[in-house]
Amino acid sequence: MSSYFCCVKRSEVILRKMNTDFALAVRKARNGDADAFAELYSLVYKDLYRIAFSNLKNQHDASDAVSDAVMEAYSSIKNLRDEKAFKAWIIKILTVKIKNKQKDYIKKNNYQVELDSIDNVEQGKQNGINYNGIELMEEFRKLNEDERLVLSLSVVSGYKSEEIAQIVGMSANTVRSKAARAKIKLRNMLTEKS
Amino acid sequence: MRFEDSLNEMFDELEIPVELAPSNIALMIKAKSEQSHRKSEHKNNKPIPVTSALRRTITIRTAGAAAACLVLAVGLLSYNKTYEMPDIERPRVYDVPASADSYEQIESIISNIIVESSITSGETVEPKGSITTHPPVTVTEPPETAKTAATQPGTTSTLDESLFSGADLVQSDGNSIYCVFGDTLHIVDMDTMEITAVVEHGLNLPVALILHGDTLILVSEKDEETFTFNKSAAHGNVDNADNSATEEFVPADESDTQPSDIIDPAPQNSGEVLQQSVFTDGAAPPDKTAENSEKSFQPKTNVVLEIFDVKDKASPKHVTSYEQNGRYLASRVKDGAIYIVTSYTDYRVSPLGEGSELENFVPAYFVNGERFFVEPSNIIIPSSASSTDYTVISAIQPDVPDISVKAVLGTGRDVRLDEDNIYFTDSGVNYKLVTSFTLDSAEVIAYGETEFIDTESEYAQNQDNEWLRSQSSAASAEYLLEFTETEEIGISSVYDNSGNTVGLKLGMYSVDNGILINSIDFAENQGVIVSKALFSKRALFLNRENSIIGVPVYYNNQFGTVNQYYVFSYNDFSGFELKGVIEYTDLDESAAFARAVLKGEVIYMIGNGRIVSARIDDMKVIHAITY
Repeated sequence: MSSYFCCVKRSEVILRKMNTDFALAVRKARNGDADAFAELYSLVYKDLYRIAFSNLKNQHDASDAVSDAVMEAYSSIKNLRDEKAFKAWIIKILTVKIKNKQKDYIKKNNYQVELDSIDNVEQGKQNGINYNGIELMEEFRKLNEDERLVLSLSVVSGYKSEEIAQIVGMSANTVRSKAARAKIKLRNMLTEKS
Repeated sequence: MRFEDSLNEMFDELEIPVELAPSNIALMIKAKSEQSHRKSEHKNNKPIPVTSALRRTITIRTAGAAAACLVLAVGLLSYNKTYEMPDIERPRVYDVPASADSYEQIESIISNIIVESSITSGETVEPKGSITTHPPVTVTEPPETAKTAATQPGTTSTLDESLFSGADLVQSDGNSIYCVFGDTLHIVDMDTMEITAVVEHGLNLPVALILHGDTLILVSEKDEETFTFNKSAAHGNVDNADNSATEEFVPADESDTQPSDIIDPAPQNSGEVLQQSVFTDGAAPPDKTAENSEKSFQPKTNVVLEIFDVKDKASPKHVTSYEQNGRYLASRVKDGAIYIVTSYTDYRVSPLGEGSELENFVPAYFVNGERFFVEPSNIIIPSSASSTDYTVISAIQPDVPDISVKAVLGTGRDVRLDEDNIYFTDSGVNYKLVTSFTLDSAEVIAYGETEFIDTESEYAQNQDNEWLRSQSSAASAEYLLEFTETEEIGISSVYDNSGNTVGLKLGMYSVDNGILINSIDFAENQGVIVSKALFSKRALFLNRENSIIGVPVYYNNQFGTVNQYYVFSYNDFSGFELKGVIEYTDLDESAAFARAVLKGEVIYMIGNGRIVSARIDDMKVIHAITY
C-alpha cells in the first residue's frame, strides 16, 4: 500500500533558487511554459494537498480538488498580475474547488456533512498519520467547514489573519475569531476524549 | 509541545498521493499544453511543397479570388453604406455614448440594428423602407440584482433594489404607514393604529409606492387597450366559431387588471398568453395569419405615476399625473429628485419606413394626459447598442413642474442600478461591456464610463490585483441583500425528503466571494411552512442600524393560519441570535405577513389588509387592524 504514495523531498538549494527565480518562473508560466509552472507547483503542492485533505471527506476527493485547481491555475495564470501572489492565488482557486465539493456533499445529504472519521490506526496509516496524530485529525475533522478552512490555512500555510481573510473572503477579525474558536473547540474535544 | 506544534506535526505527517507528485503533474500539464498546441496548429494551414508551375497557377487563382472578393465587398458596401459586419468574437468598438441628432437618425439606427440582428440570426430582412417583421417575441425579466451578481464576476453593481430609498407597496415615515391594498391606498397612524385616510387609485396594477418627504408617489402599470390572443388559435380564422373560446377580444375596461396580491405584485410578462396591443384611432387589428402569429405585436405598457401631497395625513391631495412608456424597472430618490426607470421593448406596431410615426420608434411620456416624445438630444445611443430596446429614465422634482426624461437605446435587457448609478451591460462570449451613468437631477443621467471586463476566467484579477468574485457558497441562498459593507445576508429553505420546506436557514456571506460566515437554522419541527421572504427580498426585514433581522413564516393548522415573525439580532462574533418569535393566528392565509416596519421597540407586521403591531422585547402583540 505504501508504494501507492511517495514522499517527495526537495533540497533547500532548489527551494532557495526557486524563491530567487520565482517572479521569472511566474512570467514564464504565464507565457505557457509548462516546466516553469511545474516548478512553481513543486513549491506549493504539499500545502495544497494538506489543506484539501483537512477540508474534504477523503484523500480521493482531496487529490481531485488539488489536480482540478492546478489545471485551472495553469489555464488561468495569464490573469495573475501580481507574481508574488502565486501561492495565495492557487490556494484561493483550491478553496473554491473545496467549497464546490462541500456543496456537493450538502446537496447529497441536505445538511452539513462531517468528514469521514479516521477511527483506526490502519486508516491513519493509510493517510500517513501516526497514532497520536490520528486522534487529533479525527477531532479536527469534526470542526465546521469554516473553522477547518481557517485553521488549516493558518497552520499549514502559516498565513496571517489578514492574508487568510483575503483568500477566504472574510474580515480579518472574523478569521481571528474563527481560528481562536476552532482551537478552543479542538482543545476541549481532545480534553473530553482523554 | 505547543498545541499549534501538534497540529503542524499532524499536517506534516500527511503523505502526498503519488499522482500529485510534481513529476506527474508536470507530465499532465505538458500533455495538456501539447494538446492545445496541436489544436492551434491544426487551425493553421501548413505550406505544401509545390513546383514553380503549380505555384504560378496558385498565385493566379489566388489573385483572381482576391479580386472577386474585392468586387463583392465593394458591392456590399455600396448596398448599405452604414452597415458594418459585426465582429462576434470581440466586443464592438466603444466610445462615449452620443445623443441623437434627429429622429431620422434614430430611425436609421434602429433600421440598421434590425438588419444587423437579422443577418446575424440568418434571417433575410430588407433594409429601411420595407421592413415587415417585428423582433422575435422575447420575454423580458426585470434585472435580478443580488443573486445574479453573487455568481458572476465583475465589478458592476451587486447592490439590491430594496436597499435604497426605492419603492415598495408599503412605506413609512416613522409616524404613518402607507400601504396599497387592492385599488386603495391606506394611511395608518402608527401610534393609534387607526386608518387616517383611504385613497382610491383606479384599476391599474400597482407596482411601487415612493415616499419622499411629504410627497407620495403611487406607481402602477397600465396596459393599452388589449385583447387576449392564443397562439394556436391564431392559425385559424377570427370568425371561426370553433376558435371563439380562445380568441376573444376583451376591451380594456373588461380585462382583468385587478391585482390579486398587493404586497407582491403579480409577475410581469408571464408569457403564456400574449396580450396584444389594439390599434388606437380605429385602426384594424393585425392580420392573424400563421406567420403573423409568430412575430406579431406585444403589449404596450405604460408606467403611471400619481403624485400626492401627504402633508395632511387625513386628507392627501392629488398633485399631478405622469405616465411613461415601458414597464417598471426601478426607482430611486436622490438629491431631492425621484428617478423612474422603465424598460421599453417590443413597442413597434407598424413597419419602419418612410413617414414612420414617431410612436413607432421613439419613447413618449405624458404629463396630465398630454403626450410628449423624448427629444432626440435626450436619446443616448451607445456605440454598443445592439437591440431596439430603450431604457427610459425620468427625473421628477416635486417642486419643479417640468419633468426631465432621457432614453438609452439598445440597452433594455440588462440594466442594473445602485444608489447613484445606472449600468447597462452588453455581454459577449468572453467579455462584458458595462456603460455607467450617474443619476443627476440636472441631466437625469450623466455619462460615467465604459468598462471592459474580461470574463474568460473566473480567477481573473482586476486592475488592483484583486480577485474577481468567483464561485461561491452563496449560490444556495435565494438572493443576497447587503447587510454591512463586507457582509451580505441570504435566506434558503431546509427541505424534507419530499422537497417540502420544513425549516429556514439564514446565512451571512462575505461580499468579496460569497463564502458563508455565519448561519442559523430556524422554524423547524413545525411541519411544512411558508415564508414570503423566500420569494420576495422585501419580506426579509433588515434594520442594519440595530442589526435586527425579521423573517415572516406561516403554516396552517385546524385553527387557521399561524403567522410567525422571527426576530434575530446579529454580530460578527456570535453570529445570529434568535430574540424571539411573535405569533398571530389569522383566518385568512392571503393576509400572511410580507413586510415589517420597526419603530423603537415596536414592530409593525403587514400583510394584505392586515397590520399587526408587537413589542420586540417580549414579543407580545399590541394591536391588529383589518381593512
